[in-house]
Amino acid sequence: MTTIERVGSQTGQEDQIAVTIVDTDVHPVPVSGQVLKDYAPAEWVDKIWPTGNAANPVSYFYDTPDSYKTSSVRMDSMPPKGGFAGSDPDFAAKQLLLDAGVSIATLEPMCDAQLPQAEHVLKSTYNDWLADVWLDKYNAHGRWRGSISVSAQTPEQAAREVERWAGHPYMAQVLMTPQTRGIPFGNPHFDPLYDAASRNGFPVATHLMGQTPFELIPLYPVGNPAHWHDFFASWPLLYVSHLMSLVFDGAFDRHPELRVVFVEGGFTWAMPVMSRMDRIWEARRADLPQVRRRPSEYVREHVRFTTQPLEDADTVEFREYLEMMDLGDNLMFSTDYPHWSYDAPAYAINRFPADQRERIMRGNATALYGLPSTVKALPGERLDPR
Amino acid sequence: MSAPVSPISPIIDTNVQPHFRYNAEIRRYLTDAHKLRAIPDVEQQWYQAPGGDYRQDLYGEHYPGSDPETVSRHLFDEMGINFAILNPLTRGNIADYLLNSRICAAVNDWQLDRWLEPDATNRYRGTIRVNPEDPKGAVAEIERLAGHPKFVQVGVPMQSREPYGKPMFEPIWEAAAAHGLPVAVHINGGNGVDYPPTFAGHAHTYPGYAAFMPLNYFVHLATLIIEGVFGRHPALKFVFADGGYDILTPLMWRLDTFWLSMRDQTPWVDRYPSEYLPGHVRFCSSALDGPLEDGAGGAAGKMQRWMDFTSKSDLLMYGSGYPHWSTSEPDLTAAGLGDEQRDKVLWRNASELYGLVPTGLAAKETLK
Repeated sequence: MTTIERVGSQTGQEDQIAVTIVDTDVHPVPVSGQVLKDYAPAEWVDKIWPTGNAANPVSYFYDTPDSYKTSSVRMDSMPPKGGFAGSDPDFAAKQLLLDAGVSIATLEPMCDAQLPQAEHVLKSTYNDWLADVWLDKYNAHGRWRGSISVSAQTPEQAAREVERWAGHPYMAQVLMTPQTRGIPFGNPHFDPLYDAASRNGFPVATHLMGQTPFELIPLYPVGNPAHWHDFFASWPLLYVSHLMSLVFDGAFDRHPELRVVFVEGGFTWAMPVMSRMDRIWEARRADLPQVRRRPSEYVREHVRFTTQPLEDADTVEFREYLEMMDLGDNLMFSTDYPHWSYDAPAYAINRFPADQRERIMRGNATALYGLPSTVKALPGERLDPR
Repeated sequence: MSAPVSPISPIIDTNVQPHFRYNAEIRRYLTDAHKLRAIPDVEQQWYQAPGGDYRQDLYGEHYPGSDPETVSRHLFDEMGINFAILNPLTRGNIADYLLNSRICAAVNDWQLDRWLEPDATNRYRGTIRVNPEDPKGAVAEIERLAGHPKFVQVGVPMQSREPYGKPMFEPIWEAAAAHGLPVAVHINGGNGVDYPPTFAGHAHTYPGYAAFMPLNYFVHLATLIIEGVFGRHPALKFVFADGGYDILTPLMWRLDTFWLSMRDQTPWVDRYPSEYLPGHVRFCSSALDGPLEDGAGGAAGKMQRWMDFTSKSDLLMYGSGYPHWSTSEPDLTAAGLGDEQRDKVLWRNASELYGLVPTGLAAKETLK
């Protein structure tokens, strides 16, 4: 089906190395639109991709620097054998696992569709493709983990999709868009999905769907900025909105096993938002009978944040802030490979307080996703534990 | 033991909402052409706090905050405040923008008539309320009243259907800056045509609304910087009157992080976005900001350090929010601050911004 050769997965290299770095945000794409279509129900192919522009529609809104040339990816991540960045699992393994030293990576494909049924079918198709290509054919090393993409518009079908992948050895979490068309995450609309995810031990991750057309961009309450720069800096407020809804609308009480992962939306805002929620909870408890504990306690128990893009503040000041925030159990390292604002592990480690590094780089993710302590080494990968 | 120059710290309260005594009072300040129009009540209808937006003990025959003598007793006698900046609400972005402009003008005339001109104590200052959806009308209203010494700022709603960095608003900011008037942004809705108040849609609880709504200021702030408004108007100052400075550091870091990468698109942003803050941005304090001593990130003694991130103590001005349910006393706002931070927050920053000299202090002390 593809022409990409495997690198080293057949060499009999069986050495185990310690898991030291877990990357919780990596973006694979199908090598071609045709490949993806091969996994779709035949009757849907022409409906989902009427223009044939299947795999990588141009990101034409809120463009990142030199977007026409870069498509928002690292230019050095274009596979030498052809295809778009993130389409060659073995080249990704070379850059991310071998060269950057990531032990295990969680894959989060990005896709969206306007109509509810189309979104459901599209995401289901992506799941079949991801499971077959990245989690099976190219996963002899066992170091890729997958996300079960689901439609936020169809929670009952999303729940069935979660059940469909229950027990899969490498599916690690559910992935849902935060662009929920005006329905905050704490709304009972999502209860069937949260039930299914909780029942099967899957965290629910959410990630900005960057290829989304304007109509699905959240409407900013005071209007939308003109540029990616101010759009993206304000964007964490979408996660703040969802988090406040999860807490104030009682979702964590309805779903005590639910774990939510906010991906690529910042995390230093958690400190003020936790205080803010605690303060209004203390002042207005009569208005929140469904919220039985202090809001910040729900956050510590139920919520995880991925770290990329790390804010480029002064390193010492940044570490001091993280010490004060004291959320070392809730942060998970991520690179966003192969996207342009990639954070290298070697850069990131130094940004965290010494006593939080191990948890952020490895421990929190292995605990959340039930990951092993060792993985198979790739050919040429150094064997000394870091 | 020598007595300090000023035994009690001066206090400037930068955020007080005076109200009409009763809903129909505004009609006395409207012309015949508008006297019979439908005008929203004083209290907002959507997202009102259960039990009322204002302090329960202040409801009586008239709305809380509507009697100057009572307000003076509370603020000046009981809370020890020297000056109070009045920032009345104007009932939201109602659909008829020309009517809204007349409501703003009526509110301004009422401020003069009921609060500013009869004020023998000279402790109240006012806000020229304007309607940003009528830019020409807003500029005209600023020109009409900017010369009055008791008006010290221009007031606009937090609610908007375009962020304030967009070009249609720039003539308003230009007029305010030309008169040396800061622009205060305050939540002023619940009766108008507004977008849902959170990025994820409508909140399902009042606390979900009230905890999030102030944070929307950041979109205005980010666009004012990135669209180059502050760069083009060096004298322009914005006051975000609902607090929200708690989230300033994380979001400004994020804006700074991508500044270099984005210069091709917005080359007029010629410095780190956070570098615009000291010259252009101030906040009024609120009851929801800052770490809790026993809560998230708020171990005792951390308040001083927390305020130093992004130099927040240079940006923050005490605002009681009186007569809102969340009215905060000066002592509560200053709790945990160092002496210098306390001075800046309780009066010095406001003194510099508004040119107000608290009683008992020489001008040179105020301005040092």
